[in-house]
Amino acid sequence: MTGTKGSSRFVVALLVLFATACGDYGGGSSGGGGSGAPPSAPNPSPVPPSGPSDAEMQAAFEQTVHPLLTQYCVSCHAGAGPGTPHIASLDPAVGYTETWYNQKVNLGNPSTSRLVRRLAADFHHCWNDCTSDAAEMQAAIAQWAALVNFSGGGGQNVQGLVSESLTLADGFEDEGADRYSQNLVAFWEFKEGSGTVALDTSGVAPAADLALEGPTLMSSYGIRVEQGRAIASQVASQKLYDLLAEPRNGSQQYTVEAWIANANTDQEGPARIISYSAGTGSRNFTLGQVTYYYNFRNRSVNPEVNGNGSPALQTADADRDAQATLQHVVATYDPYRGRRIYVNGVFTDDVDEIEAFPLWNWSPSHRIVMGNEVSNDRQWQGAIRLAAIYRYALTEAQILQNFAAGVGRRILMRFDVSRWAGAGAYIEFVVSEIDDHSYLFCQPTFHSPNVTNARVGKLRVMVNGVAPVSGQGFVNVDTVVTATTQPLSPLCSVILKDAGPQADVFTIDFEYLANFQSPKTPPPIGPLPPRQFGAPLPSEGLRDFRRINESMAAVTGVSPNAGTVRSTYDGLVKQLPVTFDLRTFASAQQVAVTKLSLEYCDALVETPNLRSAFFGNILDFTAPATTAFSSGATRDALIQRLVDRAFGVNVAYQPDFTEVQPVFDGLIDDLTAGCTPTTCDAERTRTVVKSLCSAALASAAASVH
Amino acid sequence: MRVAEWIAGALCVVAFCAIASPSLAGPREQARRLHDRIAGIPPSAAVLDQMASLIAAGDALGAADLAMQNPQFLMTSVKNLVTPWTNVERSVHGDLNDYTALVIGMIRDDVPFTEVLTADLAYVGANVTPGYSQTDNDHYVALESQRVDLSNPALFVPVAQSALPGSQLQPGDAAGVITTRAAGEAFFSAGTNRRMWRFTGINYLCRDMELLHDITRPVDRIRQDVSRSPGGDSRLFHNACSGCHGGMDAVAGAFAYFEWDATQMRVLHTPGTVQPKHLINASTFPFGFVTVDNRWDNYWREGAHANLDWRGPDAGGYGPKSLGGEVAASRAFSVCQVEKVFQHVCFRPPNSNADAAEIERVADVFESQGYSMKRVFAEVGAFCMGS
Repeated sequence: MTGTKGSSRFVVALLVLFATACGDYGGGSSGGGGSGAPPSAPNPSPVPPSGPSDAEMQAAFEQTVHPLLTQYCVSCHAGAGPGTPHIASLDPAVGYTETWYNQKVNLGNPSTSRLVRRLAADFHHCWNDCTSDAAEMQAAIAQWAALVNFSGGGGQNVQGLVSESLTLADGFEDEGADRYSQNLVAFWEFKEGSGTVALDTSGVAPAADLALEGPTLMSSYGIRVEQGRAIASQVASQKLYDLLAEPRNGSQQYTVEAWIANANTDQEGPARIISYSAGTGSRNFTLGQVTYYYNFRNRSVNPEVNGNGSPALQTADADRDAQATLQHVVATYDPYRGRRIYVNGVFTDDVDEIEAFPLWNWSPSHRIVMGNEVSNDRQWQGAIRLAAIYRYALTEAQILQNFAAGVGRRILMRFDVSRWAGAGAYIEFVVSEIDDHSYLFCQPTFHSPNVTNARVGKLRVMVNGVAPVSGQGFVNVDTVVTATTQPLSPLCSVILKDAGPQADVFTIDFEYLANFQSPKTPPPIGPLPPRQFGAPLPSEGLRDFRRINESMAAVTGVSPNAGTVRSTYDGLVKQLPVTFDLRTFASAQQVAVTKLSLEYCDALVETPNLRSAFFGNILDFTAPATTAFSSGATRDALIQRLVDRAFGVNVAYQPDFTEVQPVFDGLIDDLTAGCTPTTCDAERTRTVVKSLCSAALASAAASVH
Repeated sequence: MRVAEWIAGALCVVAFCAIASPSLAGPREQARRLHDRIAGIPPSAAVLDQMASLIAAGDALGAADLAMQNPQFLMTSVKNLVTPWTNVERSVHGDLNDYTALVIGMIRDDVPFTEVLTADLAYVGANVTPGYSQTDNDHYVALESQRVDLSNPALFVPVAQSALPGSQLQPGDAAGVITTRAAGEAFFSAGTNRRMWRFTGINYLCRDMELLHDITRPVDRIRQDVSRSPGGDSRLFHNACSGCHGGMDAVAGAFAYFEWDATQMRVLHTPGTVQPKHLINASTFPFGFVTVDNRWDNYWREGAHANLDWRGPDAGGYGPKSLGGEVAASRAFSVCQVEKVFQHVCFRPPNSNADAAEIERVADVFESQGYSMKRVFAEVGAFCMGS
């Protein structure tokens, strides 16, 4: 326990003691029913508060929203027309009642009001432009809220606008919806809480109690399986054989139902969730998990099925029916449809292609085991919150009924807020433990027998005096109570456990409640974190593929769509540099740059008008190489032109003529070495120029910038 | 033809790399670099001379404007900048499409860039066959393959997205790049439409979900398809899942009426009808949020990410258009656009306090100059042209 949290708990304890001593409100953590009876009624408040009266609300309505309604909605919604409710009634009292009590406006958040949404989203009979009409309506509702001091004031500022505090023991257990529970053969609810045995409570003897050889019981009902197995005796397990498979009395059909949470979607084997088997080589049935699919094996007298229940029925891998979350999984077997699997009440659409046969060849000596194989070598990890085996295949309606009934302990907790909202006022939550680490606080409902138009806003669930920062689901609730029993939200908060279900004390914190407010100031906004700088990076970069292509086109004047240039580029595009980062440059990229440059230079030199535009008359392209390159002046002019066009004129950081000339001149020598007018004709002349051109275009001076 | 000899000749001098330190650069060197970086290609001799003169006269922004007049600024440089924004792989390889075309056109016409996420705007070729289609990208492929000059306002023209043939958008629905066909194919296809938010954050706030993670955000908008106890351990929900989904699901509601139809190969918009993908896997956590309309809420206005400086008129709204406005009005949006251009032009992410300060300065200029992306290119180009 941290010092802060410990202090908070101490404060809560003091508050509870002080409040009780002063008689302001009763209840507290030690009261309540705890085992089926609702907690005692809250004590009356010394000063019953209330929100704005209906007269005040109607007056505000008349000044703000009513004029719009009577102007634009009157033809349908005034009473004579087809529209209901009659929000545009010319009688303001009727219009107010129809508007307010049908919840057509939300004063806490005007933009979400139904009157606004009908215009903005549904385009419902806008009178001008839907967007501006919705804005006009929203503004009117906001004005209404302001007139009744709904937003940002009107309430009395107080510290500690909180409910009475309760523990789980102060609530009473909600049995929830009825499960279908006929024809059970075995039933495990895992409600024991502690110990090493999970009881079969089906009432069908002998009880197939499970010895927990590794799995542990959960306070939220269930067993958590990380290692080992939960296994019934052979004698007790035989009731499955007797009732399901025995040739004279067995039903020859059955259902395996489980609420489970797979720990992950990696385990395979199949990892045994529930099995009736002897080991990895012999089974009557098994429900298992293999990554994202469920696997269902069943032994029958069908000669296509072996003693291990194979081939298995598997849910389609692509459907990913098995998830690492709480799921209701039902496997049925009947003589007509064979094996079927349902997940969360829905048939997975995986049809059994093995014909259903009787179960006469089941082994009576196998054992019921969960979380592993009997031989302890097919571990499944996760939580089993409930398991049941039925003598018959459940119908889809029965499966849906059991899915809807849910699983685990549900507790109704009524937090007294009579101190703030008047006698008898409380807020009720359905509370459960989603797993070993968190509570679910669900579906808050506000009860206030005497208060109308009371604002209830921005709720947080506190544990031991601290509101956990994560998982809060009601901080945006902001509504006005208009009925004695009013649901506030259909959602749940996920609240981390602190000291555990036996010790945690819960309180509901409000920012707005009836005539009181305690708005939270958001914590100050911190600055953006300082930027993290890495090692110094090159200030130059590569031209990427597209820049290289366009640069070559710009320098040579050759269209990127010309001749084989386009096809060559398309073929090389993935080989050319993709980023500016010099450090990524690879030799293959240089080869691609060079190949592309050759295409451009070939098109340049072989296309007379382009060649002429680029080189002018400095070289006779029709002369043999020995003639064309015989003059030093001609060579220099050629090199100068390439340098100017490819590298730029008088750009200091680029290679200049004096640096390039010796290299290119040597290249000409090399490419014309041993030439005679006969062996090196005009084609060689053009080849040499293409080489020079390519050497320039593909050089780093052109591809780095 | 002696190809081997030819190639050998070409390769023998590839090592030309006499680029000098930019710290010693004069106006010509600065002009050359400025043009290279902005347009992606070397300048002509005449343009280089003009730019050098402007720089020498202290008008680097004017020199940058000259570089931006080269069509390759839009067709090569901007296209390369934008293409990674349009696909999940963030690949720079990709055909021109309506997303990249929209950004290119907006930059060309200096449309305030905040409208990139809100405008009822598209750009199409004036006389290009085939014409625009909701069901394929052929029009833009043709624009590119025919090398239509996108810098020419007569050849590449703005139109309303909602007026494109076959559009299912009303003017009030169109939300710039978000409602383009290319974005729909990339980010509305399959999945749950959360991807559209993720890539909006990546591309326009420069933040992937890891950088928007905040477990203090309310969980009331997290949909039913998110387990509150993955693998039976709700600590994962608290410490991981809720940190992203709390904020993300609240904003992704804006896309509830959008879907990518892989059969028709087009974006579907169904105002008033929530797409089934927003409601799938409801049994995973039945008490989660059920999408009933296209409401969005920006929960990051409080908490650690309030420092993105959200400045829009409303913290919530309906549909992608107002959500786009919320993103674009933030300071993070402005800084992000400058950062992207900085990396594109300077060839490095901000790598020093001086770089960081320059990005903030240019972001100020961006906001004060009508969110002009051209101005950002010019300012950043001038900063990185050497001195």
